[in-house]
Amino acid sequence: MAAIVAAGLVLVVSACGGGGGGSSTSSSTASQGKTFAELKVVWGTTDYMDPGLSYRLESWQIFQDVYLGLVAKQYQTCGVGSGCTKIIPALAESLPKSNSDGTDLKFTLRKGLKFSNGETVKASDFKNSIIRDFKLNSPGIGFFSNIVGSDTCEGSPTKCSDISGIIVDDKAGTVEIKLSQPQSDFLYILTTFFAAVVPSSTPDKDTESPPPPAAGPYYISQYKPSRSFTVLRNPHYQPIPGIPTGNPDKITAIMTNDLAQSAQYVQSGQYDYDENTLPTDRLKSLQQKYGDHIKLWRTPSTYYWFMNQRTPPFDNLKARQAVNYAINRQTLVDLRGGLGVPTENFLPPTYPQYKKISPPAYPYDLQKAKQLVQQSGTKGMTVGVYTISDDDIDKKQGEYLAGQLDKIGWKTKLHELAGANYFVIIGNQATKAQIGFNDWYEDYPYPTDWFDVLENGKNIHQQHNNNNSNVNFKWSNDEIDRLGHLPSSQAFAQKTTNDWAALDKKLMVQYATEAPFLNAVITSFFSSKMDPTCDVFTDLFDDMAQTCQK
Amino acid sequence: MATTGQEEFTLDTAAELAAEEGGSKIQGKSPWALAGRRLRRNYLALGFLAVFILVLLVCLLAPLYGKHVSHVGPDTPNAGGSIHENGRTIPVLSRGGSTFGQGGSVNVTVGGIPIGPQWGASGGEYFFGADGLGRDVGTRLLYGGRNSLMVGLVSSAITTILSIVLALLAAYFGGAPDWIISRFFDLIWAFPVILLGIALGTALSINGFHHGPINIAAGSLWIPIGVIAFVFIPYIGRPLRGQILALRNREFVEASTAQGASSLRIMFTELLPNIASSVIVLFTLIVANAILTEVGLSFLGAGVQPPHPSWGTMIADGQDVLASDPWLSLLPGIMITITVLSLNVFGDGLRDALDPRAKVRIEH
Amino acid sequence: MVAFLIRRTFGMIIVLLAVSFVTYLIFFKIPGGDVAGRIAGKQATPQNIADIRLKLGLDKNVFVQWWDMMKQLLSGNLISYYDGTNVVQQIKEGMPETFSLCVGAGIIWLGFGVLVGTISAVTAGGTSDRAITALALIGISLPVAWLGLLLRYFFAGEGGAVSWFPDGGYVPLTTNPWQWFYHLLLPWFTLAILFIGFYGRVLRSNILDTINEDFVRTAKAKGLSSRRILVKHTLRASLIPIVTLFGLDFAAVLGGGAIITETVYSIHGVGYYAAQSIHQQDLPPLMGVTLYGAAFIVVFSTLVDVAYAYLDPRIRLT
Repeated sequence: MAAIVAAGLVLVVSACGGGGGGSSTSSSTASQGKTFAELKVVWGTTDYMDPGLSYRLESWQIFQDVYLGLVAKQYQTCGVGSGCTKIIPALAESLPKSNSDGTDLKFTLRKGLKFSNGETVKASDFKNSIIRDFKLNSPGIGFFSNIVGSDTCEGSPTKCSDISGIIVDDKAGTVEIKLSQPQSDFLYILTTFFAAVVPSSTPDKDTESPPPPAAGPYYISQYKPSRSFTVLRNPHYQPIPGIPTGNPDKITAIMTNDLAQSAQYVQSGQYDYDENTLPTDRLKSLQQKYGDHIKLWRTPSTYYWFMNQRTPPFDNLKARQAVNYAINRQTLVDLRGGLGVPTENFLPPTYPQYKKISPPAYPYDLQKAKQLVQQSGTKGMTVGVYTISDDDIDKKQGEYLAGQLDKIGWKTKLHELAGANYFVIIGNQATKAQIGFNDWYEDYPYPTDWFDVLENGKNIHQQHNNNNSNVNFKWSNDEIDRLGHLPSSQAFAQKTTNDWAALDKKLMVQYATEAPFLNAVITSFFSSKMDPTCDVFTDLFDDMAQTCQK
Repeated sequence: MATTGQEEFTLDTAAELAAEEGGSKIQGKSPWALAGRRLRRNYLALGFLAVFILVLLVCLLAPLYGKHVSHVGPDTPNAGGSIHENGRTIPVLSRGGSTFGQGGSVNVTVGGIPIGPQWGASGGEYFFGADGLGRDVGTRLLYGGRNSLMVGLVSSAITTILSIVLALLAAYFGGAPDWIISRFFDLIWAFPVILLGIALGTALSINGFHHGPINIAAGSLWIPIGVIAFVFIPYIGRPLRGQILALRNREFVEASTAQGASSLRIMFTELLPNIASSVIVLFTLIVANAILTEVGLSFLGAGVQPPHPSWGTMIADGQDVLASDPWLSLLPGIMITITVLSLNVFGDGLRDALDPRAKVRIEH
Repeated sequence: MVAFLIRRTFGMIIVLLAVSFVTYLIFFKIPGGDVAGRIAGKQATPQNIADIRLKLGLDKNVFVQWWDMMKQLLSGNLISYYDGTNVVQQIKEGMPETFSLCVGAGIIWLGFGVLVGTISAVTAGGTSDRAITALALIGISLPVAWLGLLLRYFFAGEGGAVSWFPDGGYVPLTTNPWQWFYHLLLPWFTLAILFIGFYGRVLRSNILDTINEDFVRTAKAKGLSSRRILVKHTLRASLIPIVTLFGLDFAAVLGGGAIITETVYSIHGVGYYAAQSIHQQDLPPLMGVTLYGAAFIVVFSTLVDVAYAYLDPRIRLT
């Protein structure tokens, strides 16, 4: 997903294989059984609190303890060496039985599951939740395009009424999903919140006052957009192995995007946890004062400049290479206050399929960049640089890029847009945005989330386009399709892993389709009341359910 | 001071002088000359006028500063650069980064903090320090001043001229023109000023203004100029209209009409000179307000657009490094306060000189 | 009086309609280009954009479009393009914060303005007068945004030095009255300073002018003491312009004019909401907030005229 305001916590250390096997392990022992009355948190604003619609880390961080799907990612800190790619059964009683190539998955629901409003969780609720996504025109519907029968809904999603490939039996409590082809990442997709189960009675429109009833350990009792929300225990929840039942009885949140203010709230003890990243100008003094109450986390994210190949000058390879030479990735990390790691790869280092491009293919070299611009024949052209205006870091990085491009022979024109509109505008082909800021945080830990969504020529859209560079080479489209449709036995094989890494390198180096520059690091800040050692980081963020007090 | 036992509660220089001006002292002198004399004796006002002119000059000389002192322009980013001082090389923005230790721990060295004022240690570069993108604060301060002052002065001039024209038309002709123009004033008046300014500023900064024969690009300075000029029209227009209405019925206007003078001639020779002193006073007050409005609009992102500097955008830029480098926001604010203060004090002195008992104020 | 009020009410409605129409024009017509594509919320797919075009009636006449939006607003059903929230609801939620900020600041600036202006006039020419005048002049020359940042830096812990005050934010009165008060002190001061200086000076010069009027000389001739003269006879007359000024200034900030103060201190009031919506080019909230603000100004304008007539017997309402 794209992030507008840097937020959320992600701890991903190197993930290794093992995408499907094994049963769950219990949550971190340090935080077990340490219940307390209320956790007060400061949160960034978000887009929606409806699991069918929300595509922001701020919401997903809450959803992990609220909305459950058939399977879920494990609720453990992904330590070095073990994986964040481990999946545990959630509403299903075990991982699915599947046929040999993974195109037919059978799940059985646990018995006695209830939503927070008392309704029983039925198999048909799962099917209706997926259909609801289509009716809502959710950003996640593309993830389900491989399910048999989903093509009827893809044409006009709002009129979706049935997906023949999802077969449910409420009496037996079974869900069967049939896929048109093998899909390497399908189980992961089921861990995203677009596949979370809400009651069939949930209205087919954005539901936030309050958000839909939930099957997880908690539910969201109230939500005021951009202001506050409250999370309470689900009175009808029966503990599921591997899913923390939760320490706080109640989570009270206020929402603000003022970074200095959120830090101040936690410093003064008014609130116990700051979900927003700390402001970089005070980071040093805060670190000195609060030491271990500030935790830093790598995220599975890449920040990059997209370069639209449908418009000059970036239809020219030399022009794209010039951009890669013209940016000093270290400086871009500095502009983020040091909270990041320079990169030339598209995949973040946390992926097993990541292989660092070494030696660097595009070391910082203004001279070379100037030559390339000259050779491309595009010198003197006007280039519109797009970036987000209300995030200071994104703004500065955009202005830095514009300055560099001016130095190498183009005439830049800055377009700084409010974050609320930014992705809509650059995602609209009519804007003809030439180059601009983009960032992507993983939706799930498999490379299709990157290459299929962001680089596949078959996924270019007129509006709400995520392939902002309009990358469209037959060879790469074919390779992405091939690698994305492998049976599960091959999805994590060494050869496949190598092939993904090779694809990354070829696209970034030989074809220079994007100009990646850093993987982000973010902060979480706990008040003096809290014990930071309980903190558990589940791949993308802190788990509120597992926090504990001193 | 006081004369003959009267306890006049006035100690304003101008009123003093006005009290002195009796009999032979003012014989043969026009009101303008008298005003000039009162102004000349008001050292405080003159002093602040000098300050304002000094600020204006210094800002106009921004290119010289850029060329000879700081060696950069106002928009020259230097995020990855360094300066040489006392034999050491210091990066303009602190170098930082994140490293990963055993067991998944992460350590960060904070980067991107701009260097503070060097006060000449590196020979003119970054005299007042750098901003978040490595640009020279001193240069931007001067160029920003140029932009802010230009926007302030030009928009005030435009609004004054427009207001005079509209007020004359409305008050002199009365009837339908008066009704239309008064409703026009009312309409602008009804908007909360800053809201209207931000709305216009933002809408115009999306694509510029390309309607009819007028073509203004989105980043042009003419946009904030136009917006501020537009927003202030009723603030001058209404008081002037009131004044002209009062004048219109005076005998000398009647006399002129009786003599067969044309409307235009009456407006120019009878009405205009009599509102001149009000106009002058209102003008100085509007300039001060226009500058403050530009600062407010630019601070909110609806005024001068990046990368052009203005004092308002610099204050906004300095917000996120407030804790570690307060100079960024501090300096432009000091300049603004000095400038506006000078205008206010001089404006006071001007008003006292032109009419010690003037009841002319910016009406609300 | 009644006729006056009826006529004014009629006039107010016309003005408000005109204000909303102009606002609509500003965002729909000035920028040009494909409006639907530009503002079609975050969920827009090709289908949605076409839907929106139809829904907004962008193919219809501009008056029709505007009137449709007005109907939605007046029936309380105006929905934001950006996050689907109800505009009227959002404004209502912002009102307590804006009111807390403005009423408190208003009391401070009116009270102190009158106090300072009176002292300054009574001691005209003396040191306290000069000092007050100097401070007032500085006060009206400070940019509000800068003042807010300075105060946050020096007194609210931004600079790390002292943390006597909280660093912005708002605590509802019902949650914790002391915290509510404590959090508002700096914002109140910031908002009030500009006005205190201005009002002080206006009052001072009004008093000094009135002093020299004939009716005051008569009072002095009758042998009343200076202080009594001042308080009884001049203050009331001098306050009249202050009342009108205050009415309009107060209306302006209540109606969302305290945008900068609300932004600097992260107070999520109506002004803050207005600034956000403008920035996001979110037209429905913008229409709502502009009308809300204009309504305040227009209503208070009438109230002020009525008050003026009441206070100054020479004025007749027409």
